[in-house]
Amino acid sequence: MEILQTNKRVSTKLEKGFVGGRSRLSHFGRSKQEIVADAELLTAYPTALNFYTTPPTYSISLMEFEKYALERLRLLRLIERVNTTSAARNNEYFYAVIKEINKSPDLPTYSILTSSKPDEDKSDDNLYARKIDHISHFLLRLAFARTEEQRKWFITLEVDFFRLKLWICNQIDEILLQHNLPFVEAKEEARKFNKEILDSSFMMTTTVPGAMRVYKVSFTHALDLVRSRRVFLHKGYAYVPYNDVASVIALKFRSWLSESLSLLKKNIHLVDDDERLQPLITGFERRHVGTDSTAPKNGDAVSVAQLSGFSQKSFPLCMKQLYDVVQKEHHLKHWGRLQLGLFFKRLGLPMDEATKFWRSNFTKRPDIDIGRFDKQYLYNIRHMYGQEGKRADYTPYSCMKVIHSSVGPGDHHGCPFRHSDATPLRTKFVEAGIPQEGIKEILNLVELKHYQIACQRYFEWTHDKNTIEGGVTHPNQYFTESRNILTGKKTIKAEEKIETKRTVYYKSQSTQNAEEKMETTDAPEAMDEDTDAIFAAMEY
Amino acid sequence: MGIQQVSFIFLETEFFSHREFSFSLAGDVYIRYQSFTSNEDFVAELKRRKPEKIDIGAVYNQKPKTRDTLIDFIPLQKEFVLDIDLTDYDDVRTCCQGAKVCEKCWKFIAVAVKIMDASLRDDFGFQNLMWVFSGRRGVHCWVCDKEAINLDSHSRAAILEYLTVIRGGENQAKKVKIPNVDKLHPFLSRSVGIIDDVFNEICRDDQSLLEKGDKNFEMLPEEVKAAVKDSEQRFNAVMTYINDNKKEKKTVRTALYELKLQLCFPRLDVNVSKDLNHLLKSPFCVHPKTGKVCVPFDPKKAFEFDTDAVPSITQLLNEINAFDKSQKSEGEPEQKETKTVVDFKKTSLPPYKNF
Repeated sequence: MEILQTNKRVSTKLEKGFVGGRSRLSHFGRSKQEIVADAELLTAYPTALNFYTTPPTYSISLMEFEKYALERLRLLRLIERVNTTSAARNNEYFYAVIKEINKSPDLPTYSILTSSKPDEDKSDDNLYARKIDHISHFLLRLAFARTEEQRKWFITLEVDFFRLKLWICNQIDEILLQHNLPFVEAKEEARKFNKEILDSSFMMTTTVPGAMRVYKVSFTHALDLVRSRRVFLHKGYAYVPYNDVASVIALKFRSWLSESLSLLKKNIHLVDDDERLQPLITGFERRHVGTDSTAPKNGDAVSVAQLSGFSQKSFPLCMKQLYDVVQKEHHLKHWGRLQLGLFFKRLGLPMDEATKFWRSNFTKRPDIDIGRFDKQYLYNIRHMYGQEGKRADYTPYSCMKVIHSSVGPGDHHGCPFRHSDATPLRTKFVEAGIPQEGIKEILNLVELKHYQIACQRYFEWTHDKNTIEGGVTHPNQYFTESRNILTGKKTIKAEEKIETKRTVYYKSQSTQNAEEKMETTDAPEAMDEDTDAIFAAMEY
Repeated sequence: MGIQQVSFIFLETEFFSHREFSFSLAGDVYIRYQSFTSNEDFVAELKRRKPEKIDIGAVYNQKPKTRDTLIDFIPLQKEFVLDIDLTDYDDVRTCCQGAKVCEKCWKFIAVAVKIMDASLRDDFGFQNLMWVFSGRRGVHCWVCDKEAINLDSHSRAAILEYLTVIRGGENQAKKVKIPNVDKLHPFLSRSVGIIDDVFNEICRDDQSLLEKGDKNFEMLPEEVKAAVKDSEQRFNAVMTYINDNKKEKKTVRTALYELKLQLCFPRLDVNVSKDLNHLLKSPFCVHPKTGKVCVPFDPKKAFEFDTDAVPSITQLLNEINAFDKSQKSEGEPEQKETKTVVDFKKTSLPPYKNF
């Protein structure tokens, strides 16, 4: 509730700022009379580590609103990118994120915040960075509170950024004390379970019994450690070595954030009433690229007959692999059906065609007749198209989702670059006609866990060295780009950074002829035009 | 008949009225979001609908039956459940495939039950566990501790990750990766200990794994494969090679543990466990395909559990009829008492009730 009220306040002040004219832009621009005194900032932000428990109460202009929100969005996208290469949150991971942040020219705030020992640096720049960090976090909350998927995306990446700052600032003891976390030091058990605790934790090197500090906490407070089996569990308690407590604090932050977002979601309509904020926020949410890809154009329906040709040239490897398994084994397990089926849906394959595809293939198996197919699989297909159950319009899987799928025995889904051994991969590359040097390059990238870059190279080798600039983020994007090249349409000049994603989308449309553009009349796109106009107006 | 028994465990929760039940009716009709205000209400509906199968879902913030989908309708509580099914073992069983099950492949399930039961109790501290035979080729575990019922899906997913060891699809030969075999997590060392008791029996004697033509052989390190590739009895050759070299070579030590885990570690159907709103077949249901009753069993005696001995619906009917007949034949005066005997007690089911 508190957040909401404050959001409301921010928005009304924003409005005033807007009405008051664009000359009042410099709240953070150091114009002497406007800025808050440094001493006050230091009181407000004694450390670079912020739990974001209280919302900011400053007034900011709409342009600043956009600027700060975008910078943070870029930060989150950067973290998301690094995450695809590393599942662990260890020193190497943190160094990698910091390195990437410092390499980016457009993340000044976060370069400062992730410099070494940001807490000792009490310079103006650092204090302002803390403030922008605070404000921008809450701005993005507004943009990502609406749907479950958005919240999940936002929370995951915010928690990772929080972890990074926690790692840099290194003040575990103070935090435990300040936030009254339910940790009890377990001296006796530390001795009794010495071996088990040592065997469970990656970090510990000391073997002197009793020399290690171990905290006892209910396993539900240490889920990150439980998940990666990096903690000793006994009768419902996790025995957490001092070094791993950071992970537990991050989890606490996660649940706080998750709760606040659920609260915010219930009242988000109040923000929608604000004419000026609403388009901005909708815009941000759309710029969270990677989980969605360009929708098929009207009249572009794809038929089953076309699939085989497409699969050879234009399917990304993850989909080609599934497609080939259906052809060969006439079956796919649940998650494989979903990964491929939703990809087809976005391709423009209508439901009756999809039914035809699955039915004709599956019934080639001796143990599946049409009766069994309709009984066992039809519901599933209709569900994918939003015709059953809660009738949700399921979105096709992004690379991120595919890469992070859990894949078990009998499964063919997931990302081939991540979920295959080198040998079967090599075979597939040879089949695709990739020369030795290309195969070597791609396998090398796989080894380094750069799955999306590996996929991009695969694209290049199979498309005459044409590329997807800005990288592969979605199987359907891969497909669209491939079709554009193969049909001789102009190659899309892809995005380098997030802000340009929107432009890309429009550029890609502007390459199409005028009649086609006139025909595009469905609602979401029309709305896009509107917000775009607002964006254009606001640039100056 | 049999119907009364379904309720005995679940009626005890005070949130019965917000609990989702789903019915599979004759002719492939599936109805979700049923809920009931009382035991009588529930039994009456069962008698009216005569479902072939009953699934149990979560306890929601509103009554599922009268839910208002426009306002938040969210699952709040649900037992933590595990679902283990032999179809997920097709790459390690050579005795049967698909829906089939025999006493040989049941041993995989028994190992799984032992490993999971030990971890849920010793690691997670749960005490109220009910293991149920699913009626065909698998088992379910219902963890009914208060702490378990209140877990959110994030926590459930974390537990599942902890309990999952085999990862990797059809394009990955090696599905278990142990980073450091000399610093093995206690959960893994305990699990390997349980597997050790039956490893040779299951993998060599029953399933002839690692022999010629078995894909699982591919998971072994090159040096092991090279050493034994011409052997007649490859399983034995592999084990001999490993035993001879495991002291000196860490790769070989690692391979031994990875092999045992990949071939015998439990394979869980994770999605059933992760989401609160996922449904799972009710205990004491009759499996629509086999006619067998989903009976609970003692996890300590998982190896002795005989799926063939589980009573089927036909058998139960015969038992009741036989019982009634025997009562009748003893003459009129006792007929009154017969009526007071619940159908359930006339059958071979009672011993299964006490777990």
